[in-house]
Amino acid sequence: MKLWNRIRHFALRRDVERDLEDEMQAHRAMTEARFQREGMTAKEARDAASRKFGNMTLALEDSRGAWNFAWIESLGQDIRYALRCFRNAPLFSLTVILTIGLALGLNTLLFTGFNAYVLAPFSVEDPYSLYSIWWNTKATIGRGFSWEEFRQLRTNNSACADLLAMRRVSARYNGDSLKGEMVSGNYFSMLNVAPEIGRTLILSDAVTPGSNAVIVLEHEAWISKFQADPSVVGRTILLQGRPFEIVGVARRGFAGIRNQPPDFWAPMTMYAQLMNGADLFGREHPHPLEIVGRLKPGVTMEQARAALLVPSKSVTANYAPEDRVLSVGMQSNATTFPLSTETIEGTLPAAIAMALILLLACANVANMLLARAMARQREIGLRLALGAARPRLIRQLLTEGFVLAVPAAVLGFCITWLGSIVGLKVVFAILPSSFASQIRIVPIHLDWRVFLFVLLAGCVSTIAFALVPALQATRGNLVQASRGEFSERHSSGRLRNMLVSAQVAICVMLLITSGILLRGSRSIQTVNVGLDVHNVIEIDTRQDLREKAIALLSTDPSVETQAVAWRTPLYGARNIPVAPQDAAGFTYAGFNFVTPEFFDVFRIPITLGRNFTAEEARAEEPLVIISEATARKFWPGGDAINQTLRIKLAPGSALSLDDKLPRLSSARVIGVALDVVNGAIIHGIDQSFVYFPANRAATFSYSLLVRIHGNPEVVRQSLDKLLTAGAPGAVIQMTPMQQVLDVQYVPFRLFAAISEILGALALALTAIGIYGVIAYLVTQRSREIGIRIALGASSGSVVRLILSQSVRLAAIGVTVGAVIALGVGKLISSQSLLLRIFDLWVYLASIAVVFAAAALAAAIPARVASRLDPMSILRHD
Amino acid sequence: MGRLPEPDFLPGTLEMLILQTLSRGSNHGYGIAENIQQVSKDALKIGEGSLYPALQRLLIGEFVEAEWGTSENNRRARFYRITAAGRKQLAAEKKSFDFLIEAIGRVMETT
Repeated sequence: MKLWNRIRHFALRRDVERDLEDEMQAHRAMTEARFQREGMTAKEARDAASRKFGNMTLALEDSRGAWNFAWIESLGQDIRYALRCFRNAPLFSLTVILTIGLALGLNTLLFTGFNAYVLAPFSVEDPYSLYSIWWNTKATIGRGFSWEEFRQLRTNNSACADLLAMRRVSARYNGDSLKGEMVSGNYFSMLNVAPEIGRTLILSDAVTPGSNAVIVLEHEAWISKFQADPSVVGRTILLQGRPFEIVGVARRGFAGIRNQPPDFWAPMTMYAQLMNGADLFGREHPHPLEIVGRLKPGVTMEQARAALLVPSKSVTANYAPEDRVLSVGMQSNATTFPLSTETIEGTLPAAIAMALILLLACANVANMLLARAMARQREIGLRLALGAARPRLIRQLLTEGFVLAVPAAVLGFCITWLGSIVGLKVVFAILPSSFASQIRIVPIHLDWRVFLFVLLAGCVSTIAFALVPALQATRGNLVQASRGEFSERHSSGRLRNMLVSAQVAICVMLLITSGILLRGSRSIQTVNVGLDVHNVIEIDTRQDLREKAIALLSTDPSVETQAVAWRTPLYGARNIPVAPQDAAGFTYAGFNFVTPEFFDVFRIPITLGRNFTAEEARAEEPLVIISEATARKFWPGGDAINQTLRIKLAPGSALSLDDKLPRLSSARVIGVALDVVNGAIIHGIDQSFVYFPANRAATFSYSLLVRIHGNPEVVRQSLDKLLTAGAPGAVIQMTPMQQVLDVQYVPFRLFAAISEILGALALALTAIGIYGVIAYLVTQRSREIGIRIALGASSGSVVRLILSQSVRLAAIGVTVGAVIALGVGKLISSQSLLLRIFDLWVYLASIAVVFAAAALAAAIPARVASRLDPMSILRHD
Repeated sequence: MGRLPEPDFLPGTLEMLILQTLSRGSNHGYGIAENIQQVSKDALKIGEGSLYPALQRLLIGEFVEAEWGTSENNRRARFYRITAAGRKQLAAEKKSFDFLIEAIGRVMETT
């Protein structure tokens, strides 16, 4: 309020001053009147009053000073002066604004993503009291819940005001795949989310299994998939071939409470109808529900975990020992990802890279300002000589920094805004079509946190780039300063050299890292996955219609072979401990359940032994086909066929909700298959893999793998039509396997692209930095160079002199940068085995590029130096 | 810049004296100075050079309010009135001043 009082008076300062003056005049008049009353003549009284009052101007000045107007006024002067300066050097100003703006923009862009996923809470009531809850048993860590378990936990606990249950599904609508969230009836009321139009789901929607085929649309999905048509409310649409009535659209801004927004919400009671798995409400179904609780006010997470353990234990008291609850896990569900150490560690490398870019930009600008400050030495010296206080001058130079930082911050904000739109477009363009259509990201807003971030980063960088030059420029001896002689002092030269070397180091490091990532992404794309994925289509089907779909597909002439597998290859493998009969310890191997046709579909040759027969598969006999690597590992040199493989039925290996474990403790090896990539491409060819025979009718989470003739996309569409007509609702999803493979390259392409951009940016910044310093050095040493030329130095030797200076600066930076790059390489190599961290070619190329840039940046100043006219220079001083 | 005000008072005491004077009724600058001088039996003479800056500080702190009015002998004068915040401030300053005086007294009595 006091500041406001001051500012208000600042606006009215003319009035304040007039009041003060009037007031003092009145005071003097009163004093004068008193003296007259005491018997003085009019003149004597006036003189006495003047004497008594003293210096009125001074008193006025002091009174004015109390308001600190001078400070505000001089700030205005500084800003006007800075603007004038920069208008006279538009190129310099533009370079600074672009450099800082770009770096700020990149940093803010990263922060925007971090903010959207980690900091910005979900748009629900009191998001910070929401916690996701799971059970830990001996068999599974992070176990979900059955409906009955959820119901009991909801009614019997003292810690949570309420609990909701949800389960992710995807459902076909009009040839499109919609993401849905099956929820308990209290979902919307507990989160306090209102409808935009129509209604949301209510408690009574999710009571009787199989009743209430209704859905609520998510706002964005309503816009993109239903053209924001308000008349959709009341319309019935076919989801997975079943009719559902749209009863409403959730309010704008609410996009669920997990990492991907759903397209619709449906009552949990429709689960069996939509997914056609086992009945969710029956005993035979596992535990697919995720639970989110709202803690009562004042209850901490630890208290809640303890309070939930008691009812959890009693619910599972009659279960098999390994299924009884040992502990309850909880995690904040306020944001998409909790602000935990893991999250921070995950984003740290990117944050460091961005911070380095900002640091680079600041170093650059600091250098330019330093050089400029030297050029302004005479002006600054004159000001100091005329009695300007040093803090006042520093303030002026800092103000100049802020004047540059404001447009830079605005530019940064624009880059962030554009980048968040264009960046997402690019990512979606890189993604294979069938994945791009399925992925939805959380809403990304440029909210107050982003704004605050730009503001803070802008201030910090201003201080970083403007303070050192300001301190440096205003230090020094008055006499020298007024003559503009600063060249004798070496400290600023050392500082500048250090800054340039640091820039070179950061640049080399970024170039090498991006080179490694780029080569890694190339080599990953050339990895032979061993699987022939061309012309293979993965079809997710409803279990009850799978046989019908298989029958339909077998009539189609474009279908060559059909296989059924528990897991589709290239989605990451599950592991179990296995061992040869006579070995003591177990080793982990990837595993899958497949029908015999699997090997034909993917063209995986069986190099030894034989394939399963159809009967063996149907009976799921204790037989196994192992990969060549497994055979070599377990029976080196020997024949693996007819050996026995032991399988450890390992509960507790953190298997997910839909996992299937072999019910065998041993199996006979009947075949050896060629090594391929069954897991993720980032992990390369399987270290060890075993295939068990599958009865395709047994479990609901099997996918159908179809080898076809002809163009995959054309055939995919015709097969889709065939199945939609013959077995409506059978298809959940159809994905060409080539796209499953392609999607794995996306992160590498993105990383490579990002590091290329950063590398190029770093290179450009470094070149500008070196150019600035060398150009300045040439001006500073012009006298010395002039003397050299006058004494007969050839222009070649002058060029060499300047270039060698630049190369020397670069050499220090290159050495430091290369060493740091080795460390960084170690860090990234832990993420993937396919990256070669010591890639000599990359190192040499990066170093060569940096040296070339350093030489090129110095070339122009060197030419200028070699053409100096000694006469005019020597006469000048 | 950097010129210190006349060191005739302990820092802050002038403001306290002004507030104390105004707590008995609103007054103009001349009146305040006269009043302090009279009450202190000419011991405290307030120079205008310190009176007006002090009044400005009190205005900034919103401890007093100012308004133009007419003085007893029909002159136009600016009248200062103490605010609620001013009264609170006065009480606080009085307390710490008493404490200080007492402390100084104790030091001086010890021989």
